[in-house]
Amino acid sequence: MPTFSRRYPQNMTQMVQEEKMRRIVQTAAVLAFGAVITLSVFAGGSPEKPKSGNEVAQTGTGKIVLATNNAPEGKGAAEALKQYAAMKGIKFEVVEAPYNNLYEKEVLDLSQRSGLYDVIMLDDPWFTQFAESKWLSNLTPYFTAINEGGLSSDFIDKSTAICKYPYATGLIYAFPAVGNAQMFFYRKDLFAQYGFNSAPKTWDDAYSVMKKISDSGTGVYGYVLRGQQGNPVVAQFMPIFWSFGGRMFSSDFSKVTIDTPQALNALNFFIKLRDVSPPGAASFNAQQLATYMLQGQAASTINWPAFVSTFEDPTQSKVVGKIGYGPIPSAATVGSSEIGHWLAAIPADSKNKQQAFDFVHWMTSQETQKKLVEQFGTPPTRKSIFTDPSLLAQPKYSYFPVLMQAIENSTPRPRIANWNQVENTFGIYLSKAVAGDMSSKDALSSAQNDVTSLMKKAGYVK
Amino acid sequence: MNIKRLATWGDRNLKYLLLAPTIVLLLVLTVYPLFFAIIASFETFNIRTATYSFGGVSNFVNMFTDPFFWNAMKNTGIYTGVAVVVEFGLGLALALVLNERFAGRDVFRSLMLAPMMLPPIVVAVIFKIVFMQNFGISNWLLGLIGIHGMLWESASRTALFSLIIVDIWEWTPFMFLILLAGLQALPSDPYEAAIVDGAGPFQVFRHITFPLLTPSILIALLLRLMDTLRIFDLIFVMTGGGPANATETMSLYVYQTAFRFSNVGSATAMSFVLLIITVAIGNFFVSRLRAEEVFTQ
Repeated sequence: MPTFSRRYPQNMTQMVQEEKMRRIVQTAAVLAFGAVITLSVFAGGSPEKPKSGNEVAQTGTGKIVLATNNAPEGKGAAEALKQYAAMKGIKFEVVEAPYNNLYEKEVLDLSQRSGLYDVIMLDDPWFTQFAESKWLSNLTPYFTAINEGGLSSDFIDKSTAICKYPYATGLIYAFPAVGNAQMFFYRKDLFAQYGFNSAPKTWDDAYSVMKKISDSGTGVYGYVLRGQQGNPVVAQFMPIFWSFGGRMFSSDFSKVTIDTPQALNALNFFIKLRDVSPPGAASFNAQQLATYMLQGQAASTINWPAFVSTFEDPTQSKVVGKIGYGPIPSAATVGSSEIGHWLAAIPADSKNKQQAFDFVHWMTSQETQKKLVEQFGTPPTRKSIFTDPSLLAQPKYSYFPVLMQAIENSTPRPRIANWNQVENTFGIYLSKAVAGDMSSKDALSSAQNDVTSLMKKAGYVK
Repeated sequence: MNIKRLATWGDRNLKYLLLAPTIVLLLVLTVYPLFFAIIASFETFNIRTATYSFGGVSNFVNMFTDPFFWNAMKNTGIYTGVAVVVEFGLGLALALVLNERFAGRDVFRSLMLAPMMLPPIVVAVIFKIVFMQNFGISNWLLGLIGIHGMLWESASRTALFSLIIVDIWEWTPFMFLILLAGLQALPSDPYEAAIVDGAGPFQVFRHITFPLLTPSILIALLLRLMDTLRIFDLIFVMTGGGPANATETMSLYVYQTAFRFSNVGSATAMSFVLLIITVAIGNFFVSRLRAEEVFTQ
């Protein structure tokens, strides 16, 4: 009877054995706990040692490892590395990942100080967290070593500013690689029918046309709104928020200013845009926007320049040559788009910093950047390329002057280390307003409360 | 130590030597991460310096005052409750029907299993197309009976239920499979006795089939409950937790906290709550299974 014998030991030997067993288990538990402590100290120990990013490493492994995203913006960097490695006769490796995974991979590598990557491509809203955590190399000594004062003055000022920590005034931690900023995309033919032969200057003008197009019974919607919760809806709302004079924070981040009359006007207008958008906008991301525009079912939207080449591609687009590009319309203040550059940086723990610097310097040089523009259609960051006559002569680069102006007038997302979480929280309430679950007023006051508590936790708001 | 003594030592401790590889694996893969997670759940993270410090129970306190945490708990509860109950009802009905003999039964049984065989990501993408507002097949079918413009997973009011429908579509076959196997293993003499005694079909089901099937039912429910409590892939692809946070479940929120907000401490604390719930449910079912004498020796 096994069950019986388990509960009642039949003789002394068994009792002794059970006692032994118990001791073994206890010892094992103690040992395991000890091992955990030791390993944790070991694993957590390395970040304690401050590593200065200032010294220029003399030795390297002779191999450049690049982490980049597997979209056109990131593929350009991968191709550049391939060419550079062939030219210099060095080894290289490219680690590609989709947008969200790239962030996870980079944070893991940087926070564990494993020094896996020598060059990372990062989206500019991640920059503050990376720089503030001292995860990136200060590039100034490397510029000094080649007798350059810093980033070339050929880069647009706004592009240079987001590569510095603190913003615009601090040390250089990255190169501006891809010059993204939002633009207002509109159907020239449809807007012309209502008397607009150029991009509408104000949101009022733009909305009056959108409304007429939506009501015209042609099945075309006046606007298509990117309303998906999180990053998408926030990216869509910010340019409108700014045009209406709103700001999320006071300039030193000590006050949250989401619940203001300007913000309410902006959000109410945002809801009006939703009503001239196709149903289901609460779940649209950039791809749905592109689909509605490509099918000719929507007359305008705010989107990133990466989609320009798709709109002008006859195999995918029903609206080739009909899309106009304009700056973000104005309301209470001048319209401003969100800047969304891809930056190239060198992790503080890279084992190959000098070669990494030389490569990124070459990749963002005038000559290479022009090649990348021609090969991948990725937007540049240098004024000389935005104004290059041989490029401007081609119709597919007709949006360059507008984009350059958009970058010059752009606003960066708040330069705070906890932006991801703040954006997510703000995005949830915006999404609730767009979905009609909350009134604009309630959404803003809830967002104000929740963002304030996040900012307190991070020590920005006292 | 000479060879003879070594051999006797080896003889006496053979059982420990043989167990050692397993124990080492267990320590490395289960015990170490578990203890590490316990420690991590008490650490607070400072995003501005990327450093952790001991924060006592602050992660747990913050969690219980966080409205998004409770929203995720509520969504997980609704999702799990509704999906498992409906899957069980449908699965049992299908198992009973397909346990009878009729022409084409085997073909139908094989077809029934198809949804379960698909990777969840594929199911999610298929249903994103099925649910498309303007050219999805679901709205076309509804249009035939005069209902237009359903937004399915794009509207906060219907999003969670749209996801539950997909879950039911994919996992009812699993319930059906386990319950059918249970039905086939039932002895035939109680049925013969019942028919001799003049019992009707409902009485046979109520007093013979259901009690005899209880072990299979418990196992099927247990596996599905544990699976739905940690649902991630389907929701991640179809809605990403939106719109308006209507479909954010615990797994999704834990993922966001750990990988988007880089706050591993807070994320492990939440995982522990989910673990405790899962273990509690698991233990309840296992004790019922013991009572059903499934585990008797």
